[in-house]
Amino acid sequence: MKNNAFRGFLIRNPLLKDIIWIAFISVVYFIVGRLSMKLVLEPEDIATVWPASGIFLSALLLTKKNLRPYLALALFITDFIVESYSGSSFAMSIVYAFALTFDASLSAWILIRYLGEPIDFSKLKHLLSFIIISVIFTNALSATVAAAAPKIIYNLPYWHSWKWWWLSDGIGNLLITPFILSWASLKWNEARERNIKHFIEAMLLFLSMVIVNFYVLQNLSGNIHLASILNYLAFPFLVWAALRFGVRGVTVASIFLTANVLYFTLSGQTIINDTRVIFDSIIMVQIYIAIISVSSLIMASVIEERKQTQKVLHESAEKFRVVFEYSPVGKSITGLDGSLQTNKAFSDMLGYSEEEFQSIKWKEITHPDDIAESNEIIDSLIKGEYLTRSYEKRYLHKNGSIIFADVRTTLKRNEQDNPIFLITVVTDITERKKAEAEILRLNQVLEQRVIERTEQLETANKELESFSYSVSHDLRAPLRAIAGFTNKLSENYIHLLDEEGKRLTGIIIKNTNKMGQLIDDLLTFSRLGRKNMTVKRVDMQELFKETWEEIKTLYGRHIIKFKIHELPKAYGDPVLLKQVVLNLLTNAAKFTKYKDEAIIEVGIKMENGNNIYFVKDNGAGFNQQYSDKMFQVFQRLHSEKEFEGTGIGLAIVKRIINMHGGKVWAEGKENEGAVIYFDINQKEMEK
Amino acid sequence: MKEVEILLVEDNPEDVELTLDALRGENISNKIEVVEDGEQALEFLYSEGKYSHRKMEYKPKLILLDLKLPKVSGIEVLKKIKSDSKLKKIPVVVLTSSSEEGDIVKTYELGVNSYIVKPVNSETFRKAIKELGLYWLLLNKYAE
Repeated sequence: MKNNAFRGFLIRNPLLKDIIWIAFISVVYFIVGRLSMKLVLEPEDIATVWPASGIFLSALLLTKKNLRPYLALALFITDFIVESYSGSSFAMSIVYAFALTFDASLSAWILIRYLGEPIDFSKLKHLLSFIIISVIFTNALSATVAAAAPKIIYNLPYWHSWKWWWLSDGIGNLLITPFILSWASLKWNEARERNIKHFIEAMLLFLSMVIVNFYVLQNLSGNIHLASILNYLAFPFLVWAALRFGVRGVTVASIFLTANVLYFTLSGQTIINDTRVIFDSIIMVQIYIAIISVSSLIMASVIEERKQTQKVLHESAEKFRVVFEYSPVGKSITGLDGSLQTNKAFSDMLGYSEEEFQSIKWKEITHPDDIAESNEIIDSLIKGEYLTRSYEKRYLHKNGSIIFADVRTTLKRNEQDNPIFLITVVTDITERKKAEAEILRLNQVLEQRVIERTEQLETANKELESFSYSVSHDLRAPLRAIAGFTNKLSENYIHLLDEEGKRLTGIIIKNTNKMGQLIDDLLTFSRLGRKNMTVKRVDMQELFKETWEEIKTLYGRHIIKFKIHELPKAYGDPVLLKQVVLNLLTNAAKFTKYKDEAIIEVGIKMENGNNIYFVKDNGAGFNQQYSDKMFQVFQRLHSEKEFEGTGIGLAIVKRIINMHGGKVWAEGKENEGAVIYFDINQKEMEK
Repeated sequence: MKEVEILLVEDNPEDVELTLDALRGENISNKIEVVEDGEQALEFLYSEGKYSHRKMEYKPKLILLDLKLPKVSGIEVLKKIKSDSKLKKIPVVVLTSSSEEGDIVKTYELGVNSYIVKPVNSETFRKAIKELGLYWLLLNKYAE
């Protein structure tokens, strides 16, 4: 809880967080610097190993970009304090602090610029770049600056100081920077994954190093003959660390070894002090440390890189295995010898277990009739004619049934372009095939049914035709007789009939005439359905005019004003359109017969690019709510007494207009008149 | 024996009577021969059967022909007449109840001289027959 509260506080105050970070590094640097002073040899004030320079570089690399200049400044001051505190002159301290700051800053800048962040020592490229830049190059530059101070102040030999600075600074970088950066990059989760055995092994390595080194160094120091052997003592441990614990392990082991060797060297017990010249002895130690560290670090890095590669490879293989194994689509890898490796979906599809499949060749599960084609396909792939082939084939289920499948086969080749195996993707389409067959069967049934129905319809049509023929012929004959003989009766026997008798004969004659008209109209209507249309260009205006001339005298008992506007020509059947015009005009004439000033108007209006013809009258009109009924057979909106009629005229109009792909409708108001509209589908007619 | 001027081929006795009534006014009804079916019509024209005493040379001036007839249909009679060089000059008027377009087309193709649909209305019917008789017997010129 406390920890979380502190973290939250830092997140809310980023500036404070930065200041704490810089202060923390400075303190660490100060402590390490003070301890490193133990390694300083007079009179140059230059340390044998200067770990503080590694701290400086690591801190820069771990700090975020915009904070680095402040950190560099802080460490410059800290270093100056460390130097001054240990008794160096002001000038020397300034020069050393500057040289160190310059070294670390330049080094960090080049590394980040060249490698990008973060620096990762488990990558060989990063490690080698670090060695060349930070261990060899930049501190050579800083040595050039720093060595001037002892030369000027104490007049010490320049190259001696240079070499001294270069080595101590370089080794400081070499030991500390990989150590800090590699351990800083350790993720807590990753660390937890390491098991207890790994930890015990690390302890074992550490202990054996401690025991062996102490024992050997203490017992063998001073023994010149064995000294050279002891130089190699470090290697088994470093190899162990590199193989088992990577860069992190090596850095720890290297630091431990260095500390150990330095301790014995500086305390005068070392193997290497046989020259009795401490400086030369130290330089040998430094070179020794450099060599073992670099070698073991490179080894660890190479091993880690390989491990990483193996991990990626393993993951990739595992990914492939999962994709292959758990794919809902059947997949198999077919060897060139015909052996099969299948996934679950494929083995399920054919009813075998994956183990059974291992001893089955592809030909055994292929329908015998499809083997030749499959062979041909494989050959074409091997010859390189195709990269991949898609086809349908039949497999045999373990129970003997046929499995229809959609198959795609691809040939895999090795680097030498030789075929290795075939990858086959199989989709079960048995259900689809069944459905297709069913559809085909149903279609055939349907077709057969259509043929049968058509035949029935044709028969029915013929029957209807002969029916209407006999209606036409046989129904009219008796009617004619009734009408004729009643007429004869009323003429020749008029003296025998009283008024009632005359009225009754009149009714008979009127009704037979009416029935004759009904039969005629019905025949016309039914004939329309069987008529073949002959489409021609029809002058509508002429048609209306001519028809009006024909009928106007028939309804001449009242005066009708006939107005006709200019009408466009239309494509249609002239005979049928004549019937339409005739029916519409006779209707108009009929329904205006009680008007003093009857007006019939024929015109056109445009709607959505269609020509809509209309016939308008000011006659009896009708109630708009019955407008649909007007066009049905035998539907009348007026009494027979008011207006004679059979109720078929407008039904005929509707049928003809429909045959012309058009529509007909009516607008009206009782006692004010009616308008009948119709249009003709010109596009359909022009076909 | 009077020369027959009109051959009426009609099986319906009422129609026969009404037709004769209509023609009577024109004073030509006594020059009409009525036959009841197509067979008799042909026998009459070819002077066969019961008409064997008749001389074939005396051809009628007009044949009024119903289409729907027992035994031999009107269409067949018409076909026979119009395909016979001795008979085809006789004007044939189809007098029928049928206004079927098929019948109209068919008879004209066979060479009918006129096609008339018998009106139901008795006034119209009488008028039509009268005018028909007048036209074909008085106005029309014949090829001998």
